[in-house]
Amino acid sequence: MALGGFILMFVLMALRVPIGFAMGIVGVLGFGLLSGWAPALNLLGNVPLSVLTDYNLLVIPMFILMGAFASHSGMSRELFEAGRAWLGHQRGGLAYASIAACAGFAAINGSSVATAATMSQVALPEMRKSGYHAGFSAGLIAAGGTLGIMIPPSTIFVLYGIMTEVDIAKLFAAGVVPGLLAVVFYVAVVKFIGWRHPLALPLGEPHSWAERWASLRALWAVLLLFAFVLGGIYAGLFTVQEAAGVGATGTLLIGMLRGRLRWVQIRAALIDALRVSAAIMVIVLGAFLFGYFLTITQFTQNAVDWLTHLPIGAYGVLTLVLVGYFILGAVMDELAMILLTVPIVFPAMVALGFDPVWFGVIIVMAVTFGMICPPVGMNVFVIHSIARDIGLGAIYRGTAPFIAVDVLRLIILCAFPALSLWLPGFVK
Amino acid sequence: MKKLLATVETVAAVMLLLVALLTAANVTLRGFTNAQIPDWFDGSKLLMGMALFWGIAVATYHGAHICVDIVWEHLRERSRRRLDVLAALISAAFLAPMAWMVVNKAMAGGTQATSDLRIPLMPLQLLAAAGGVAAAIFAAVRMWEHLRSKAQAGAHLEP
Repeated sequence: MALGGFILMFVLMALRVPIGFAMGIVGVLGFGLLSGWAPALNLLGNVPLSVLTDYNLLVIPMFILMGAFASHSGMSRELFEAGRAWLGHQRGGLAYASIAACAGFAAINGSSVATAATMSQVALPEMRKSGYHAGFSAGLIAAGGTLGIMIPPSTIFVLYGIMTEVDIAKLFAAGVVPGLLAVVFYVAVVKFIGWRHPLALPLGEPHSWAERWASLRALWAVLLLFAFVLGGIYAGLFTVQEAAGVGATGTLLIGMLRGRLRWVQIRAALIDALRVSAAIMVIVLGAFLFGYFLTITQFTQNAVDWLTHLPIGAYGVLTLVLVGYFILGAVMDELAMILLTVPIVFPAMVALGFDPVWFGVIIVMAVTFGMICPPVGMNVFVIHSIARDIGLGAIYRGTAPFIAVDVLRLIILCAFPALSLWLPGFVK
Repeated sequence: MKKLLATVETVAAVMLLLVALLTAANVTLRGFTNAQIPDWFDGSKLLMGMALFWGIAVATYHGAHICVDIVWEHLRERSRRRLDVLAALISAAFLAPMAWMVVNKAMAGGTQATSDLRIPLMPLQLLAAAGGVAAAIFAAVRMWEHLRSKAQAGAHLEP
C-alpha cells in the first residue's frame, strides 16, 4: 500500500502537480482508504491549520526574510566586492571572491537556492564580463549556493532538528567546519582549473591596499548580524525561533539606517520572502499529510526494522542510505526528500549507533548533491532562469568538478565524525 | 485582477514583517524589563498562518509552487499546455476540499481565544482559512486560463 502511494506520488509529480500537493493528495487518499473518508477529511482540515501556524516552523519564513532583506540591501554585493578587492588580481580571483561571497551570504541566509539566485545576479555577470568561462562560472555559483544550507543558519538543519528533536543550536554549530571545508575544496578546484586552463580564468585588476581595507569596512553589517544572531542563540538570549525574527528585524533596521532599504526594496524583499516561504511550507504541509499515511501503513516501522537488520553492518547501511539519497536527489526537491525520508532513516541510523547531530550534517551533504546534479538540480535551474543564455548542460558540466570534491568531502566527514562534532561539543 | 493579487500579496507579506517585528520587540522587552508583549506567541502564530495561507493562494495563481519539470520540459508546446491544465485541475481538486475542511475547522473553534487578551480565535482563523479558499479558486482560474490559452504555455502565469 505504501509502495503504491510512493508510485502515485511520483506519477503526480511527473504530471507537474506541485510537490507539496502531490504528497498531500496521496497522503489523504491513502489515509482515507485505510481508515475511512471522514477521518481523512478531518486530517485535511486539521493539518494545514496546525502546520501553517506552528510556532516551531516560524523559523523558516523568518530566516528567509532575513536573507531577502540582506540581499535587497546590497550585503551580497558588498561581500563579493570585498572578495574581489583582496583576491581579484589572482588567476581565478573572481571565482575565489564568489566562493567567499557565497560563504558570507550563507552566514546570514538559510537557503541554498536564495544564495545561488543572489550570487548569480551579483557575481556571475562580473565573472563573465572579465572573460571567465560561462559554464564554469555558473557551476561554481550553483555549488557555492549549497553553502547556504551547510553554514548556519540553515533551513534544512532547522527542519531536521524539528523532525528529530535534535538541538538546532548544535546542528548549526556542526555545519560550520564542513562548510569551511567546502570553501577550501572549492578554492582547490578553482586553483586546479586555473593551473590546467589558465585562459578560462583570466587575471583581474589589482586593488590598492586602501581599496582593500575600505572593502572590509563595508562588511560590518554582515559580521554584526552573524555574530548577533548566532551569539544570541549560544548565549541563551533567545531561542532559534526568536533569533530568526530578531535577525530579520535587525537586517531591516540596518538596511534602513544605511539608506539602502526604502519601501520599494522592503516590499520587494517581503514579497520574495513570502513567495519562497509559501512554496516551502506547501511541501512541509504535504509531507505531514503523507507522513500520516505512512504511519498508518506501518511503512516507517517496517523500513526502520529492515534497515537495522540488514547483514551489511552500520557503514554498509549508511552507504545504502546515501546511494538512496543520490537517486532520490535526481528526481526530487531536497525539502521533500528530507521531510519524507528522515522519519524512516533517522531512527535506523540512531539504532545503528550513529550520532544524531553528525547524521544531520551527512544528510544535509547528501541532499546538496540533488541541488547541483542532473536532471533536477534546483540551484542549476535557478541560475539558468537568471542567465538564460547559459545552457543547462553547460551549467551541469560546470558543477562536475565541485561534485567530485563534494563526494570527497562526504567521505571525509563520514570517516572523521569529529570534524562535525567538535564544535557542537562546546554548546551547552 | 493583477492589481488585486498584488495588493493581497503585499498585505500577506506585511503580516510576515509583523511577525518579525513582534518577535524582536518581545525579545527586547523581555531582555530589558522581564515582561512580555501580551499574546505575542498566539499573535505570531496567527499572523504567520494568515500570511502563509494567502501566500499559498497567490503562489497558486502564479504557478510559483515547486514542481518537477522532468517530463514537462521534454514536451511540445501543446502537450505542455495540456499537462498544465491537468496539473491545475488536480491542484484544484486537492485545494477545494482542503479549503472546505479548513473553514469548517476554523468555524468549529467556538469560544477558543488567545491566552492573554482572550481575543476570539475564530475570526482570525477564518481570515487565514479564506486564503485557503482563495487558493482553490485561483487554481481553478489558472486551469481556466490555460484552457482558454490566453497565455503562451503559461508565459504570464509563471512567476
